[in-house]
Amino acid sequence: MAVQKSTDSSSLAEVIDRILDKGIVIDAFVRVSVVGIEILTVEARVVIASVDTWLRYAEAVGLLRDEVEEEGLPAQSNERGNAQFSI
Amino acid sequence: MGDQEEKGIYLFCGIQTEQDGDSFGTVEIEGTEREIFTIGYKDAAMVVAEVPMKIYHPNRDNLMFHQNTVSKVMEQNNTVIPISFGNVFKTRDDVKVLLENLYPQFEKLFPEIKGKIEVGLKVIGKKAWLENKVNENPEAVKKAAAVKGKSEAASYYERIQLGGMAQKMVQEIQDDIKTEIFSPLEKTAEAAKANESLSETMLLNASFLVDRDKEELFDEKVNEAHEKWKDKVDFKYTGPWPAYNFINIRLTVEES
Repeated sequence: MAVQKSTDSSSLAEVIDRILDKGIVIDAFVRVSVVGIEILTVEARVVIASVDTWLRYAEAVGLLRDEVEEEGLPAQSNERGNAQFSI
Repeated sequence: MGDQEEKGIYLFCGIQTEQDGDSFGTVEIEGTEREIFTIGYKDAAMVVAEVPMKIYHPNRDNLMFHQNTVSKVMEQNNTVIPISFGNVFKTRDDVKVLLENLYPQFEKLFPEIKGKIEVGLKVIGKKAWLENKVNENPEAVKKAAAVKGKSEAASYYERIQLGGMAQKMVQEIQDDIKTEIFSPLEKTAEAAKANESLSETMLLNASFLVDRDKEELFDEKVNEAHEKWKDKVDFKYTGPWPAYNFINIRLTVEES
């Protein structure tokens, strides 16, 4: 019997853990003012092959987190029972 | 309302592509089917959809439309750069400007992530096993017995000491797991990252960047580790994801 990986909707907590503040993260100000602005500051850090400490942008994420708690938490706390994967 | 609504461009992810106009079907966003299309620059493109201009709240349905679309793109394309949830730009030209500005980064990233996927592994200690571990520690058992029956106020400092002991124990187990599970898996991966635990009983919260060619081998290694540890811990193994944990690009506008 095997542990199998998946990204299906049972793993909402996993999705939240990734898509809110990882990958390319764009400041709201960029979104409203991008045309004509040539000086986009790109702070890129590719952490291939290293275990750097993750820079958390607390304010931005904090704002989002409240929303998540309102609507996403029941699913997340189910997950704490962690009985979903097949063992 | 209706046709008069202001429209914007929602961003899902970046890809490397040789052709114009890749087709990824449609996605349902807040009850309406939207066509997924690309906006290209050189060999790069943004995968996007035209949507009503507004703030998209990160509720379950919205998070899943983003994630499901990125998954769909990954089935067809092996070089996907993830973009975080909820970004809507005013026009296609805006997205093009953004992509042009990001292109130097994309150029560097493409070869690094081509044909690679991220997988996640969380290891969560089983309650019974953790409790047994505690009971092996005579000092902790003694202290716990001393606290029992006392009011919270009377045993305040003892409780703090107990907490400290428990934390130290969990820390030791986490270190073991890192040596026994994380390190061997790291060798099969292109890159590995240990994130902070999200709960007291989470003993490992790791992401690995794995070459598609080694995906099966990596799955096997995870299963081997699980076989060895399954009485003590639960595994939560997820993927394939795009390389969320291995790409960190923060965009802000410099005010001049």
